[in-house]
Amino acid sequence: MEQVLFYIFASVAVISALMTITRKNAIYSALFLVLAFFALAALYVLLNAQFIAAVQVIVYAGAIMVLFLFVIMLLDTRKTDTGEGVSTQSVMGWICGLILAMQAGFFLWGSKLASVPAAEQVSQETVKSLGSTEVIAYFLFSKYLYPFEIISALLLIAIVGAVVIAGKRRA
Amino acid sequence: MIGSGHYLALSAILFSIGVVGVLTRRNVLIIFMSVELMLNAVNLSFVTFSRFMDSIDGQIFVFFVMTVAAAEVAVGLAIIVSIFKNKQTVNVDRINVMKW
Repeated sequence: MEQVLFYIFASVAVISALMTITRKNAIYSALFLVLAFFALAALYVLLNAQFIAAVQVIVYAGAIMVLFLFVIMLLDTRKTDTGEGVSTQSVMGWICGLILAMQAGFFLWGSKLASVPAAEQVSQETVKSLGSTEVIAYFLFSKYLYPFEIISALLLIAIVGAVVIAGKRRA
Repeated sequence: MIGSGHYLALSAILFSIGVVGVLTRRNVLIIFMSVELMLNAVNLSFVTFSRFMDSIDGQIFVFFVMTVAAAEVAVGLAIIVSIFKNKQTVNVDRINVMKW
């Protein structure tokens, strides 16, 4: 059952990621990227990371991609020249990507990290409670309290920066 | 049972697709989306290691990566909107004012 679900969601993620980078219209790319994010959220559930899966759907598929769609529709890039097409650079890009994927595959092939069997070292109860909101909240507000506060300052800076950059020019 | 290798391989494939997207496309919005795809591929690795090494730290890190990605998207899209206002293009080959 877990295997079947993994292969379904993995193929959905890979195919929609490929569609994202090959579609001519940026809106289709964004919608396929939303699909890829949903498939990744499903994989997080399979990995017992329920909180991360929920955040993935809410923040990535919800907030970030809606922002993307707004900007794409606002800019109306269909009328402008986007300079797409097969060029030497795009062919080289595919070759480089293939080489990178092969390198990663070669690294995984002989790696110990890739051969950890599921649920061997870890008891099922620990695994079940690992991704719960309670455990994450406990660590977020104790061990990682300082980074958490820094992140809130970062978000404030990002909001101010976005308003300053995209806002109306005074002069 | 699915081991960690399957998830790590999927993560590597998604990351490579993101790299190809950045290298082949000229539309700055799609390049930006490919960067998001790469961030997600790395998040998948983090969650995989968190699950198979019985440690919550990976998931906390994913939380931080998502927050930084949200901030990055807000600022990045603001820059893109600002460039489009000035140059009426999203083609990265034409956005070369800072090219020496």
